[in-house]
Amino acid sequence: MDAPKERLPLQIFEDATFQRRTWKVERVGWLVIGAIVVAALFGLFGGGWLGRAAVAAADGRLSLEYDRFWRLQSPTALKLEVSPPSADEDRIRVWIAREYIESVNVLQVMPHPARVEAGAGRVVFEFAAADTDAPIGLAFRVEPERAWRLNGAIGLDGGGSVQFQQFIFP
Amino acid sequence: MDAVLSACAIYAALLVVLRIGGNRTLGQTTTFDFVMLLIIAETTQQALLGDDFSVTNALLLITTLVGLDIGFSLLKRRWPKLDRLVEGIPMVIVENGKPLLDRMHKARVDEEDVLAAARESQGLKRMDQIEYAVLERSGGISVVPKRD
Repeated sequence: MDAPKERLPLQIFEDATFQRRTWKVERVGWLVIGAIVVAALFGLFGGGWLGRAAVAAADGRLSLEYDRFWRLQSPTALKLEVSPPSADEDRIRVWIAREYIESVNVLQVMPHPARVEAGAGRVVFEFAAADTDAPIGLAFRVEPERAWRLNGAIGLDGGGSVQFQQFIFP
Repeated sequence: MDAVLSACAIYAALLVVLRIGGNRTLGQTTTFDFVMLLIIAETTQQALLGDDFSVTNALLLITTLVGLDIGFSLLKRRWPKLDRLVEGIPMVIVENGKPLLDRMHKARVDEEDVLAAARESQGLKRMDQIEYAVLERSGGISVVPKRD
């Protein structure tokens, strides 16, 4: 490194090498900033192409659409599509693992459940179902309260289930 | 615990991001830069408070931030190199009426900025009346006029 020069008669601490290195680091920093912005646009920090994911149960009776990446204390939706109940049933029972429920704040359940049961290790939401043959859509609007890895499991009572993971940025 | 960690994270992140932005990012005094400053301030505040509006949370955040500032200034006194790394160093951009163009280009300063600073601080009319113009660490430009 050059010894600091004094530009006589101006008494000032200058260091050309340090300045050049600083500018190089600055340029690298700009690339990083650009990369972060592009990654965010692609959905790395939630939403968008990289962020939204879907998973279906093995027996095909339930499928879930969720955000793979999301942010703390920001609302997101778990969208479920379930097969309609059989002819003699008019209820849909969906359970969510307790570990997940405890990590999020459930803001809204659509449609409003007829009954919510607290079970061992899970919470069961019971919905009144219309008489139809088409798949039925349900939505849980939740807000993560814990950062980093969230493990979730959702299923139909007596039917298929799915497991999913969300990475929550703090 | 969260409040302290958030404050530390935001302090460090702002330090790095604004340093990468270079001196001129916050050194200018145009209206737009003022707006940028306000936006950054508002964004930071929201993130720090979250939905905790207690007086305790606010005091914790303020205390932590001031504490970090104090700690940092002590570290800088102990290691001057850290000071240079974080705050930068001044740089001569005009010498004897001649602008040093490659430096100005790298620092994203143009001759108009220098002339404006010369008018504001010294009431000078032309570039050849400037003996030295220095881009200070704060992002401002200081001017030393020629004396005959």
